[in-house]
Amino acid sequence: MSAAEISVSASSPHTAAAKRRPKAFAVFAALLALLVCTALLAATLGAAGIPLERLWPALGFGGTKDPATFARDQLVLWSIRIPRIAIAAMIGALLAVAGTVMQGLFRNPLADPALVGVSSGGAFAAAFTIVILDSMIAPNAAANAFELLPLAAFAGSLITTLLLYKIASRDGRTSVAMFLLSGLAIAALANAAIGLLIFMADDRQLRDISFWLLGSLGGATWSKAALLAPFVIIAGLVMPFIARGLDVLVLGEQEAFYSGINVERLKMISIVLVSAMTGAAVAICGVIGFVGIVVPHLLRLAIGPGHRLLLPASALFGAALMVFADTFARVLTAPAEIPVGILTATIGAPFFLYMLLRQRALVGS
Amino acid sequence: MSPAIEVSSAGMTIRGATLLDGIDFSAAPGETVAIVGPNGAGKSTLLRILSGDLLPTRGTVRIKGAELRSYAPDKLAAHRAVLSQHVTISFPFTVEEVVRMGAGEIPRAKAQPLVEAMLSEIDLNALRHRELPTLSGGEQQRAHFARVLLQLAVGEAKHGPGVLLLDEPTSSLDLRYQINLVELGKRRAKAGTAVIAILHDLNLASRFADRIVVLSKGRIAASGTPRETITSAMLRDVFEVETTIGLIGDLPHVLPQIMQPASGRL
Repeated sequence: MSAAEISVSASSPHTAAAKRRPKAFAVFAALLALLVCTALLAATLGAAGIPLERLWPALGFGGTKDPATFARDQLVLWSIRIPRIAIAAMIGALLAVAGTVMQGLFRNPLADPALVGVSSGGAFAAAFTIVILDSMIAPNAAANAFELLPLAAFAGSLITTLLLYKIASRDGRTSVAMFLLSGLAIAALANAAIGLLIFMADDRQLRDISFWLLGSLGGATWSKAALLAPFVIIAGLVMPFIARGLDVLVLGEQEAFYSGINVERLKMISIVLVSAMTGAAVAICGVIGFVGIVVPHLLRLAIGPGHRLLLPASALFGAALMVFADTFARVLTAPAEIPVGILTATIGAPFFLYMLLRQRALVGS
Repeated sequence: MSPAIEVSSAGMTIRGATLLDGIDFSAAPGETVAIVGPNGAGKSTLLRILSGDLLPTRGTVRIKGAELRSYAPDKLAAHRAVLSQHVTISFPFTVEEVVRMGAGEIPRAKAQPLVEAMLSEIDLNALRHRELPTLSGGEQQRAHFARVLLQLAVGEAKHGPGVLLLDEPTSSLDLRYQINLVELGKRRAKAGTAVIAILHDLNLASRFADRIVVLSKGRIAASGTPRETITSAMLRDVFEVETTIGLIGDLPHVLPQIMQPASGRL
């Protein structure tokens, strides 16, 4: 082996020298196929199983021989399973895109709304609404505190993100250590406040709060799905406008400005978007972590870091992954359910450690 | 001809420390200007003021006659491009993808011929599919140079000759690419661009620049052609070194006489 060959392989230990990217069309086709397959799998599996040959009639394709089973299948499918799949897919998409945007914003592949306390901030606001506002509003009974939950969770997430940004970035530079550590501190503070609320809560409120803290998609309904849908649509509409900005931001805020990006506006849009997406997800299903780290990381390896492709791909892959994880959570100990947040953390936390170790190996310190 | 970029009685004071004071400076379209000076003279601060990244605490900056702060970021980027000294990249973009960033909002299909032209001009074709973090410092700097040149070309196609600012562009380049870069800068200037570069290597500066601006302690100590500015007296006053100045053709050439500072202090 010549000296030139040695130096090439030494400078790129984990990739072939040349990196070719797959076509956008192929990426979307593959991810869409994956999402459809996981959704079909999720539709057939569960406490009341619906095998494939009965799934098609229940979905409205083709006739059936057994009207009684057909009616039961339809009921299970349309009022329980499909809304749950829809919610899982939307939550997965929101969390994955929130993670991707946050990583672009902080120029750090280890950023995740759940990890750095943004979800905790949202969960604290949700818990606060359950315990404090509920007991204030309950006597009047006209308004339900639960209707305020999405708003409260969004506000909690937004304040946390802004706080995090203020602390972690200085003179337009973000320190990775500052970022992770201040996120940790914010999460600890939010968790302490949640602890206090748990201490104050009565039995019913306690059940509601623990549902939020563990992160679960149980109790999925069409009305919850309708609450999430606007956030998914808004995220989809905003994504194309921040994609180029996030790409150039990877070179630093100064370079982004030199390249013609309105950096302050980009940061503001990104922060509000991350908070809205995380807040909406937390409001519906509580704290579900690591989706936002795992999804963009795997996608960057496969399709590259360009946000024009990465953002929509994250939405699709996040949706598929979440539908799969939720199905797993439902089936593993059926008829009981494991909260899916426990599942994602069990898989995601070791993955995060692996990324940390890899980064250390690359930096060599 | 009206200047491409112009600074009038500019000063910069941050937390009581005066980094720049009484700076009057302009560059005409097609002019090459080298900014030289010892460490801490304020070269990078001046470049950041010229780029719009820093607003001077006193005085004004104008690009093509209009106040710099009246440009929105995207408009400014169409009139001036900046090559920074160090750019760290945290995600594995390939060389080609980084260069394409210079095309701004231009659709990919339309930008591709421009990307190809820049990759060829900076001799990056062999590296185009390599991820930036796996490349050497000099190779990364060339990729960013291609990106910045593409941004300049896109802006100039729309608005005519612009301003190119280079912050120690040769710092991590080998000799061949140092010379390439200087020649490339001069070619851009021939096409009408005002090219302003911070350079440490005085011999390179003398080869590159129509005019050399010497900064010392936040002020302009000298400004003129290489022969007027690169003198033993200037080097003794500003850099505190004893030198012999030779001439190669018409251009001054600096040879340090003894390898210690003129004042005898280290």
